[in-house]
Amino acid sequence: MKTLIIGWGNPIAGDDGLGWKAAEIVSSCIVETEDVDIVVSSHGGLRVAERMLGYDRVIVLDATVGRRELALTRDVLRPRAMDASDAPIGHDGSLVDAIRALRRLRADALPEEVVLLGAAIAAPREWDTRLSPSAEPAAIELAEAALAELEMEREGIAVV
Amino acid sequence: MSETVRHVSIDPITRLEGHGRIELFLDENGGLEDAFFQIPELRGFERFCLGRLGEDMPQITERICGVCPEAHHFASTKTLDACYGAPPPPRARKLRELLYNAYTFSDHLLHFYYLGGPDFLVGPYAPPQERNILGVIGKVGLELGSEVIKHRGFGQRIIEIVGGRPIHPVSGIPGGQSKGISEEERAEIEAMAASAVEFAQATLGIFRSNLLGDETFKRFVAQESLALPTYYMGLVDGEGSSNYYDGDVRIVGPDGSEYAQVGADEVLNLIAERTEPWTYVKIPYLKDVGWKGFTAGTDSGVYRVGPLARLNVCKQVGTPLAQAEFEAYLDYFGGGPVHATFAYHWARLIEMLSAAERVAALIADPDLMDGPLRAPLGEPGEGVGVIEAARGTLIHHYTLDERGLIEAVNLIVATTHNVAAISLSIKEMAREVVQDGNVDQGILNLVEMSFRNYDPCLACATHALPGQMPLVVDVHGPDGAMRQRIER
Repeated sequence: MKTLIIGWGNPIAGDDGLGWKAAEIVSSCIVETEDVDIVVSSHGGLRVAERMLGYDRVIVLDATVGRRELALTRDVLRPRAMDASDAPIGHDGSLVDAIRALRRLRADALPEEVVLLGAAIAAPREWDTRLSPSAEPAAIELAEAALAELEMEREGIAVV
Repeated sequence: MSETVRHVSIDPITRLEGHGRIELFLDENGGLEDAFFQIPELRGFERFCLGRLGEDMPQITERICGVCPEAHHFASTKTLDACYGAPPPPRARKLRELLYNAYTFSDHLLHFYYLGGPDFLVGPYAPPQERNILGVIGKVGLELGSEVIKHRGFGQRIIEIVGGRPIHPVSGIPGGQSKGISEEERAEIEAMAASAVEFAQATLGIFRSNLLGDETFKRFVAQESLALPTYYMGLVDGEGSSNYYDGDVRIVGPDGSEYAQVGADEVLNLIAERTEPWTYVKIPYLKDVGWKGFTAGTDSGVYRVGPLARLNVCKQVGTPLAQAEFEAYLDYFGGGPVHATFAYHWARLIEMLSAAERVAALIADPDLMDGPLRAPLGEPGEGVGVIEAARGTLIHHYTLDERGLIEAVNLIVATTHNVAAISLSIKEMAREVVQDGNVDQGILNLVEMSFRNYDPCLACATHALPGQMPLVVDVHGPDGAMRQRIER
């Protein structure tokens, strides 16, 4: 199984860089193999979705806005089973909509599963390369969650 | 504004990067009184950069935008070339141009198939859920979908090979490039370039057989009220050919006569910026012509950038297949400059072909494989870098202190140049279609189409997850109370 880990967000927009930081932590904890690639991205939804093509499984690490602050969230998408009938799409549109659009275009190349691991933050208001003190531990927790996903995968544990 | 004005708010706009807002104000008769285009933004970027190493700027500035990091990366690198008095040697310059043209090809491809094209290929009055890439392949054929993805992938693969990283390029450094390409990579790019040229030609064929045969499109490009006779700005090389990576900044007036042609270091002398109370964005205009309000014409300093502008400022496009398309374009309009805002779509596809041809030409250039990759750096100082982002002229201006740290920074991005013109285009379209206070999905899309012509980039790379980008339209009565809400 070929897995891609994407640290998604903007590393110069304060806590929006949390996903990047988490991906860097994951990268320092494992040896990248032919089976696991780790990338970071500040791109919009479509380009991130395009990056997923050719992988069996993708783990996205991201800061989320609009949920309870610093709570960790886990959502699972099954791209090959998603409804693509009315997927709108834009440069920086929703990742979910981008995946739905790609499903119609190239379903065979989409991953079987996309795990979205998020840590909720307040919407960034300033440019900053640093995470806030409260977001630092959240980045570690997010990285640990990603490592746990990889471990479960290695042990063949079905993730629900 | 009168007490009886009604207020229609379109927020956020769909199918563009980041969030924008269109404000329409209706009069008591239900017609349009005024229109504004707003961009909310994360402020304080200049302050954030102060004291940082100049050499870090290509990596910092490419984070501003989740759509075109390549444009900021190389605008920044070129600015540092100027700050250090270190123009890159031919090999490095050609590597940059190679990557840059791959980006232009890929970005224009995206706009036609995903953003602007569906309005006409599927139809402006089609339901929003059909007016997208899926509607396009429904009309043109499923096979096209695979080709779109394949060629988007080619663009990104070339960026990865030359840029040194899978996603965000890191290869641009002051005075040159940090790496070359191998013979194996050269051969890989060569094959992709040949395919890209064919795909760009096929896309122009789709444009001709669909959009040029579409009554709505033909009406919009022909309608005088939807054309803006403005000034135009873009880069040209020493022979007057359009160039996306480098050259002089050329500005022509509404009658096509040359207003100015200057090097990058002089362009900021031509521009002034003004603020408006309803937006954070500073609105640029031609300083010596002056600001006469939101209006077009020879006496107004409003100018435009992007594909339409680039084809208006150049004498030729510089590659053979695209040149033939350019001549057909000029024939259609009876010569240039072309003021029809909806001609941006056509101009963009001519550029997509030109960019693909340039990739093919550059990859065959022996200079690409041999020679120094970096020029020696001089003492740090002040510099301006100008590049043509897919959506228009992008200007970076830095001052470095003697240690190479940022003392001052200013960026003027493509969408900012176009803000005044976008507001004008929205207003003219809204004036055409909003009558008797009637605002429905089809009418709103027509207003948005006038805006999508410019392919504006409002990126801020902050994401909701899983994200949503709904369109909410509030219609307010003369008493300020909301009368109608439209969501999609």
